[in-house]
Amino acid sequence: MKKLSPWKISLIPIAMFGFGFALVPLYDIFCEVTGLNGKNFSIANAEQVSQVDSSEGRTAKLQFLADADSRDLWQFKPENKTLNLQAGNLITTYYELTNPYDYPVTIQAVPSVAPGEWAEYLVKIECFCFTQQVVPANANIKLPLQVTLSAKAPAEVNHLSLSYRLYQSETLGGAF
Amino acid sequence: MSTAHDTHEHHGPDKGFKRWLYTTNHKDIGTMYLLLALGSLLIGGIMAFVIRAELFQPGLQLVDPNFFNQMTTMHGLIMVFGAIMPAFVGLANWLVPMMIGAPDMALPRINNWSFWLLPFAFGMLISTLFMEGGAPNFGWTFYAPLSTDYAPPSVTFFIFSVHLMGISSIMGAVNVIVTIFNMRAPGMTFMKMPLFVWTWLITAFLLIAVMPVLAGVVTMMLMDIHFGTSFFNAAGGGDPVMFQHVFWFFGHPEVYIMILPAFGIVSHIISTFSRKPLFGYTSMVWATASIALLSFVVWAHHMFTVGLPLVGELFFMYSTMLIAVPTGVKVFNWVTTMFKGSMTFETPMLFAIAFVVLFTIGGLSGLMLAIAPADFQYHDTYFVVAHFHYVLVPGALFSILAAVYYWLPKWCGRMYSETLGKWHFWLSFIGVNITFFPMHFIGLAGMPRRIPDYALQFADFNAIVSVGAFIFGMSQLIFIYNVWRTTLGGKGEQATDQVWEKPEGLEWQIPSPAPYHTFQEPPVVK
Amino acid sequence: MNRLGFSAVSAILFFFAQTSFADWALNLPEGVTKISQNVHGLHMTIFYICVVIALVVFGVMLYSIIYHRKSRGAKAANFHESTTVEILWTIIPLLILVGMAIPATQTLIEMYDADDAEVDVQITGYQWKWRYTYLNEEVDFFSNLSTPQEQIDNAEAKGENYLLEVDNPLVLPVDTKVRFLLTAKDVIHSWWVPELAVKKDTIPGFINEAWTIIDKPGIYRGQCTELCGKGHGFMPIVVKAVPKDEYQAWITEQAALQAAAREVKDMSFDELMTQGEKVYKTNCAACHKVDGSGMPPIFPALKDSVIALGDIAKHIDIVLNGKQGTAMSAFAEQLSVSDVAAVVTYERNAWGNDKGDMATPKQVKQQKESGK
Repeated sequence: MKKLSPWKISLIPIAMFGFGFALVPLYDIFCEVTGLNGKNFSIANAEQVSQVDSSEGRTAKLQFLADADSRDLWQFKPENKTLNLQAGNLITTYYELTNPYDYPVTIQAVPSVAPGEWAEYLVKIECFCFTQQVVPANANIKLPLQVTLSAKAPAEVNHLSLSYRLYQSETLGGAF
Repeated sequence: MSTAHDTHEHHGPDKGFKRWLYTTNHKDIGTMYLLLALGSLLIGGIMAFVIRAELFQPGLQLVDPNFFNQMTTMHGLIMVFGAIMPAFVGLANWLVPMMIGAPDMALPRINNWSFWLLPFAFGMLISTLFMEGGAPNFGWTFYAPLSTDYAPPSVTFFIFSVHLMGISSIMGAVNVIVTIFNMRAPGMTFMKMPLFVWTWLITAFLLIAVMPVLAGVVTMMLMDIHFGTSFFNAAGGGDPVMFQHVFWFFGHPEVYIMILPAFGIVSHIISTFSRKPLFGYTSMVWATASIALLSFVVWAHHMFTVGLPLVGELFFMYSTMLIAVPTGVKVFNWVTTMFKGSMTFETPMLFAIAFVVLFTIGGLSGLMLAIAPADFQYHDTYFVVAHFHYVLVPGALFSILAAVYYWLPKWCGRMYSETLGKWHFWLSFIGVNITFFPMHFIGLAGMPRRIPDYALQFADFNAIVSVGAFIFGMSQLIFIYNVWRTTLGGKGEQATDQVWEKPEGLEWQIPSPAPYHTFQEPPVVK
Repeated sequence: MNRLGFSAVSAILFFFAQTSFADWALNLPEGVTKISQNVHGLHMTIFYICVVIALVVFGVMLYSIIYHRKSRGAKAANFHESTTVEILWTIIPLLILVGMAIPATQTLIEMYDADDAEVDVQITGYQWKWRYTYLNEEVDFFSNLSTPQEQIDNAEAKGENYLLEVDNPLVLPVDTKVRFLLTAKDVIHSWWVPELAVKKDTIPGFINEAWTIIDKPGIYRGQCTELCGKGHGFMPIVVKAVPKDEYQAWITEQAALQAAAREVKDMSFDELMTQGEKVYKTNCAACHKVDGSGMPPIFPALKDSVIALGDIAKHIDIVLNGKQGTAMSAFAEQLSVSDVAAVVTYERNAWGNDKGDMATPKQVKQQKESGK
């Protein structure tokens, strides 16, 4: 009888432990490849957008949300509640916020898109969520956002909701 | 294994505590696992009593909500990791070597260590009840961020305890696989192995595949809590739902780990007491393997309300429905084994038959849960609690009880009391149904899980459930007394080698009680 | 003896097949939306399929148990294979399942289509309450359990809607597509109203989408369905569905009321105490107890406490900003400045504390704006 070595079989649990951790990047890859994730909007540059023929008429209503907590503490709110997105047309809008403290704070905005299946058709050219933002003490600032609709969006994509939540960068573990 | 020991059969086990501490004998280790499981069953059972006592009436009478959450969490952890899993490992230890004609497990010292890790792990887990902040209170499924950012300080001990249990399970599973692959008696091909051996082989593969993933997810938790990572935290670019995906990737195969050995046990018992060979041996093996394989692609049916994309939701609905097919095949095979048999109804058979009926009910409620749009109404309600208790209590637990009744005479050489066995059975059967059947109703009527207090329309059924739980819990004392009486108490008729009427399997060809060392020379299997 | 067991189980299954009984509710509600009724239909269909399967399987078992027993002289047959039979009982269940999957898929696709909604509500789960923000209006409020702590502690008789009542219900118009955007502040919660068949987890940092069209005016109650800590069982949901014009009137009224509440006005000591007691019972009594005795050391007593009898600014601070590393959360977002002033005043003077001072809404507003 061929002998099965316990060492060989132990490779499986070791590999599976690695697999568990690998699931973290694997999920991101899976979501990118399939477009199935409320986090993954697409990113493009202004050049690419101008190349799209906007007379195609594909539009969708984009609703801007700010997370409740961020609204309360930071007076964080969008300039527009909704805007019409059109493939080929770049829209510039912003979110406003006020630092309530007497000292500068570094914040990170975390976006989320619903429905997740259509997130990939929301194209961002510029977003304040790409980087951390330093907000001076007591300052009221406007955070810019440039978006458009992907030319690849099927006709049924007619509404999207984009929500941001602010986190303080020093204490990434906790929200406000 | 050294054959020089042939001439040392008079050399019995050591005396005293050292015997148990240092033993590498599969029978001793099997016994220890079973006793640990029994102890865990009692501790987990007391926690269930606390839960049901609080839920006996609306209002908060006995415990505060935080302690109640500790009870539900610990009850789940102890029953899953302390009672059911070690019990099946104990049965594997006792039975697999004998069933394949091997003298012991392939890795006897690892076997010892696998066991002794557990009292440490559980000691640590139970000690969290006495720590500041209390025991884990985030459910046995410990979703982030409740279990990371909002957990009591004892969470670190919880994580360590899970790591220890995981190592124990993995080593035990490696042991089982290597034993079955390498130590079968000549002539025992894979397709001649008893079904309990098959189901344990497949279970062991599930264990080595998914326990490491559990280790991974609790390590990620540890890193989020203590080392500033953000696996499950949106602030740092992570995602709480990621926790659920990784956890359930472990969690679903885990529940099959807790039932496949039961399938093996029941196949043996029904066949013996119907005096008929098991119907469809080959398809039973294939069905078990299919269930195991499919168990890897159904995990998100625990997450139907989390906001999965439609395609994902549909995929998991279909795969979950699919897993009902091989499971159904097994049930049909057991029934067909009984059909046109010549049945008697000793205690093992009573538990085995009840298993088939009640596990099927649990499986059917599982099929209902698989229907994703309907699951939006069932998820996180008592309907789910009913489902999993049916498959775990009159499912897995009954099969363990059946196994103990069936094989105890072989292990200790005496017959248990059939009268006490029947009392135990009927009270358990009635108790289990009074406890868990009404949970279907209150779940459908809208009662969520894991709440210490509830709206008035759920009161009547909750009272009934609590009474049933008490009956069921107390009936287990009959079992404990019966086992004690037969083993340490020395009562009961001498058992023959065969014990029952013409049971199949190598374990019935050795004397009862089984000698300390058996099959020193491998038998030849035709 | 086994016969009895099986008859009992079969009887229970038959019993279950009846439509729901009044108080001893046995079945899922049909609900008040097309989706909830579809879901109920799916539920009943799969249930009946399960009943039939169970009857067939248990029927054969029962037959064997009676007729194929040794005591009856039955002789065991020897057959143990049959490929035909095996194939049949693999294919037939598979076909039944495919049949079931089709209507299930259709309903699921419908449930995912949140297009063309007229009303958008953002639902945020907090420990342990809900917050509703009407996205196209200026209406935003918290919805707390309103069952008095005394009822939970069995000091008073329980009301009819025990644990299923709130101070501010979610008011929605009937016959209107309402879209929900769900998220959470702290841990995962889940928003569920059985009669709407809407259940969605609320994930901190992310938004989920759901929708409903309510056909009938009425009051529909639900609960949080994801373990979220000690208050998990105490954060119910109440939806009040009203005709469209009533909804519009309510919206206008709410917007005005909320604007007024945000005003900072002067309040007398008595006004502060009365409002303070209400705020305390809703937001504080669950941990600190109605009589202020708390549950030390995790929930300190407020009666005779150092903070309640000490520096008033420190007292206001701990209510506004919570205390790091403890279970005391920050209430700055959830309570208006007058609520904070009221509850602080109440805590300093109730239960024999009798400190004699009071906090004013102006004072609280100033302290809030001056930072931590």
